[in-house]
Amino acid sequence: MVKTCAAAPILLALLSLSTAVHAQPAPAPSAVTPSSVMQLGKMTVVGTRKNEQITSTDIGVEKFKIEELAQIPVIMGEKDIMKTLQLTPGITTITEGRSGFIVRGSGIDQNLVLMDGMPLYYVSHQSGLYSIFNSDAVDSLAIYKGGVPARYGGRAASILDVKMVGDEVDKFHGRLAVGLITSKLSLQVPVIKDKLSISLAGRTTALSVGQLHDAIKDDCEPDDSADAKSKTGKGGQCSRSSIAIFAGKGNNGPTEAEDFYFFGRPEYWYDLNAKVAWKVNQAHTLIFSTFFGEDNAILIGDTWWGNRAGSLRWSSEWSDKLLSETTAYYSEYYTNNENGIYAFHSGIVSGGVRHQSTWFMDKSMKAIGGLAAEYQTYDHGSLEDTTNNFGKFMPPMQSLETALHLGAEYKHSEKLKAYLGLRYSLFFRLGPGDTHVWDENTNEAISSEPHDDFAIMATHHNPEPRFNLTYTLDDSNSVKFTYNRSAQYLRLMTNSMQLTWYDIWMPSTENIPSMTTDQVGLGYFMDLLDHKLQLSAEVYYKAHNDVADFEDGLHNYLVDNLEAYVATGDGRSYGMELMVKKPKGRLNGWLSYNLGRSEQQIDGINRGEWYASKFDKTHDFTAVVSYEALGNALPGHKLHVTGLFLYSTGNAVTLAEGYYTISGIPFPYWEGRNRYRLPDYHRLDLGLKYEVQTWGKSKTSFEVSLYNVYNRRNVNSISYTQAGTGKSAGKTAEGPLFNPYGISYYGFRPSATLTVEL
Amino acid sequence: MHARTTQMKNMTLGALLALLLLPACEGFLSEMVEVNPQVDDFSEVLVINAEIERGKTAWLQMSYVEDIEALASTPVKWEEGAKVTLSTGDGQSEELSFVTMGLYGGNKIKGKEGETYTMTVVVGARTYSATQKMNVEPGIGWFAINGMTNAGKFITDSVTSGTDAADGAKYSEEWKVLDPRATRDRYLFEYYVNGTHLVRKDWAIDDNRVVNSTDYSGEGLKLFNVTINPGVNQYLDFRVARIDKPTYDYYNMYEKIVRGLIGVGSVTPYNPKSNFSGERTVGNFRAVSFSATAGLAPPSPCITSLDGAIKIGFAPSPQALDGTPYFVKYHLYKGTAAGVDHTSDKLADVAAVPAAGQVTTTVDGLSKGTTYYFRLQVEDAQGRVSPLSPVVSAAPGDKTDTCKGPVEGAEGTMTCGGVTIECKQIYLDKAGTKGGDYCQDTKGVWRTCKNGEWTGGASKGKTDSAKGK
Repeated sequence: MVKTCAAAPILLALLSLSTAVHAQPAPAPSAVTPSSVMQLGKMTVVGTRKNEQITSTDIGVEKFKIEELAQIPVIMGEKDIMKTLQLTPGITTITEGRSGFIVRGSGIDQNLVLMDGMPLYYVSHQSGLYSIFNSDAVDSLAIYKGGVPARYGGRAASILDVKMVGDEVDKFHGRLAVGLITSKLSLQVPVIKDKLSISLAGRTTALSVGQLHDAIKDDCEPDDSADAKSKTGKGGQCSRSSIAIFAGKGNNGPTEAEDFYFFGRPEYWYDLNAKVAWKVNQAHTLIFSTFFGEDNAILIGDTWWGNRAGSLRWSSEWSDKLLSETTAYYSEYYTNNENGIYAFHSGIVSGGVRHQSTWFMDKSMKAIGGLAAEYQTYDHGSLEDTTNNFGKFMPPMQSLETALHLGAEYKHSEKLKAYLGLRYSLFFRLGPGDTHVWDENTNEAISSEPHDDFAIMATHHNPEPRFNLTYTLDDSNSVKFTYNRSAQYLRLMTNSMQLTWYDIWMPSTENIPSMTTDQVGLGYFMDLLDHKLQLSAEVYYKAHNDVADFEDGLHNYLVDNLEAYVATGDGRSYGMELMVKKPKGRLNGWLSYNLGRSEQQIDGINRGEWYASKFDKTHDFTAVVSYEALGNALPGHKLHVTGLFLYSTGNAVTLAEGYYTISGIPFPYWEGRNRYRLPDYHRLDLGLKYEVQTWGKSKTSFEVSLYNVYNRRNVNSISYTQAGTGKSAGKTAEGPLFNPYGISYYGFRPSATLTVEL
Repeated sequence: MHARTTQMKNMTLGALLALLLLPACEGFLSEMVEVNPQVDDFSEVLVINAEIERGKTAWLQMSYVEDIEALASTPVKWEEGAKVTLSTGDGQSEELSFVTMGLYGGNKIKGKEGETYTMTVVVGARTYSATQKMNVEPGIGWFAINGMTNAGKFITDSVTSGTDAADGAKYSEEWKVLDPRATRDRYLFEYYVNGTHLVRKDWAIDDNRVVNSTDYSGEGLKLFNVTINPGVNQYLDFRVARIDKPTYDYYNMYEKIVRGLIGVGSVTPYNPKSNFSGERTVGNFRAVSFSATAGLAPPSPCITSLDGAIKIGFAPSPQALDGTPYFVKYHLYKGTAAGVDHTSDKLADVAAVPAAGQVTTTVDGLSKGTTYYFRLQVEDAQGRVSPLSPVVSAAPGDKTDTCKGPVEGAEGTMTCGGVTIECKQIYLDKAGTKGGDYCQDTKGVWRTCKNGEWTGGASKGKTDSAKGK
């Protein structure tokens, strides 16, 4: 917990960094909300109560601060906070190394990702192998799986709130890292001491050792063939018919490797975080944050996609008891593809304002209230023939999402605390555009009505009550309860099991209802060994209303009646999360286990019967251990050893039970949706970081990570070969006609990074 | 201290180098993993596939779904004891006769545009029924086979006969269906190459998911290179019919399955929806009226320089199932510069002399020391012409002879590791992008020579492009 205090400096001086300065814990780190920042005089204190997890009203929340982020294990060459989050209970991913995350069985699109208040819509690089969060640019983060405060809204499952570094920079800091996959540079510069600072952090694969290796290899093996040119789109470049260890797509199927590359095709990505913090005076601070990130790859032609976002935050301290924060932001996600004469693009743009005020009424009560408004435009795509001036241009959609919220933390006694909040959200689909009545059978428009600019075409609204209750049994034990309702007015529509860069966002319309999730949770929290060891157990049940999926039969998104293909139904998720955590010390880490279930029922899918959702994982176990060696034995030298082990139930998949023949072609036959499981998933990763103080306060470190140490070939999907065709061609058809095989993406893979820190 | 620092540097450098070398191990690769999923048993599912086409009698074929673990040699379980009835909206009715292997055929009722047909199947106590109205044929604005550049890019300045091929060329088809803008329409496409129906290439399209031109006065549905990449020396029949949504949905999924687009990592699988009523059935009944046209892809010629003459060789015309050649005329374009095109000297109706595995024609009266460039064009009995073939060139007397060995697109034999096999068709990997020349053996399997042995694997032209869909 981070707090900034405005009075009693003497008292604060007595408090250690690990102790909260206010008896009343705030619900989130200052990274997340100024309401949790308390200022006393001119001193800012960052601290955490020893028994924070016991006394706070937080339930269903995971938080990481900068020092914890520094210890997160390197996975596939990067310290990736998204992958770290997936090691905590209740958070997982659909498929190894793929984009998006699942929170307690909810859909990938039901997670709001904020970076310094900027909403981000696609948070992956390289098809999900890496997240867009540069660990050098992240100060802290919190993810709310349940018990979401009323100030947050817009998504039904979780809120991931990431704070960039640079709010306060008191000294120059620089870091340069060269790795196999990325090279990184970060700078924090106090331009005017205590007044103005600039922070920058950038990453790119274009300057990595891996790219250098691939470029050298290309030069050595030029392939001027037609095929190579068509693959790269550039004459004279070498083909990449070989497999690549860090490739995203294109690495999906069984492939005979002919050669080795780090990147599967000409591709690179970069991201840049920048922040300017200006302390106008003692009471007011302006902070400008921006993020740019883009992937470039040769898929079917030149393809690039990315985020552009910026926010301006005005934090004010009106009195010892009243703080406020106003944020204006802009965020854009865009996709582009150029293939010969064809050009494709799609995207989403949002811009909005949020305001919230925090009133410290007395020692027992704090209230946070505010409002928010966000205007969204949806570009559902166009495919254009650039030479003949024609194409398929999908009509854009527009919407306005607004909300009022009020919440209060109330401390009834030392034992009983509560958080009560209400968010009221109001959503408008706006013109220009047409409203339609669709034929349920043909998906064709029965009638249509045009609407002018900014005309209200559809309205949805939802009250979203939030309630948390903490009963502290003693200094080391507490019981917590939560009830949450969250509404969501836009959905990511995907034709795939996984998130892809070309998926599109669809707002609620007159035909597509808003989605809501009601969640109840009950948790027991216990500290042991003088709070050095934290135990928690939470059970939850979530009822999802109007979850959506595309109806069977949609081929791609470039159809005039996309809205008509959206099918909605019900969902439910329930489970239990256990966690044992040792957050500090030379030996630290955690064990987590989740027992969960996630199901859906949508008319037209699985004959209208309940089925396991693609986000369903019954068992999910993680062990994370970090140990710091050499610290005392060899001053100036540090050796960090990290290890993590994961085990989870295999994904729910749909497998063919039979086959039939039409026109001589055998077709698989499926009885139902997601009735079977992939083999269980498990792997062990090890990491080693050697750090040496080179001169002055500068440090040099060398990190090695070993992913999937025992080379477990986890199966990501199951497919079939057919006797007499493809790889089986020419073989005698003595065995089954269909032969199953699994596809495993990632075996053992090491990576290394050299970092110089100033 | 200095020694330790140096040692540390060496360790660091060594570790970095080691990591760069490590990726050579197999553990990095995506792999196929052996799995043995156990799936549940299921009760009987009837497969019904039926069609009535304009001017033709109806047919229907029935079988049962087989266990996924069944051996490849397991015979299809045909349904041969059903009662199948076809009735029309105007009161006609007939019972289809059992023919063989689950196939039932009509004798009386022939397909007619605008008519409604109901196919009823009775198997034991179960009844299945589907009704279809036969739409009018859509009509085809134009259809062309185009040459592609050797980089695989489209040549867009098409003419009615299509654009010409470049060296090492492939071909693509491009066409426009007369699609009325005012209505929502869906189409079924079928291809026949050299008389053979490519059932794996059947596909359907919804007119709201394709590129619509604003330049076509509101009419037309233009599609590019969507399913077929015609090979050299091919005669391509193309048919299109307007279908309803259930049939479109059926073929949409049919296409995805056939093209291998269905899998855990892609669209969640589901059975193509049947338009037959009744429980536990898959398949489709359709009433279709096709518009048809054809396109021609010329053979790729070879060239032999003679004394004062040039001999051009090429594969003989493909033939219809009854043995009739599709190409009735060959036109040779000649020039003394590389840019031979339709404006160049046209040697029409060249005499083609059959030779072993190829036909040849000789152009006499040429000057020694002058390089001549030639391109070939074919014409069918309806006067449709192909685009121009890739250019071949030689100077009389310069000893050029590219006609040795197998001829692209022709029948012949190929030898690998001392084993000679007969080829129905030969594909020459001139661009060196396919890993070698290919021979389509008498069973239709494309084989190539690798490490001195014939493989049975890759099938040429396996990668269909989805552009324009």
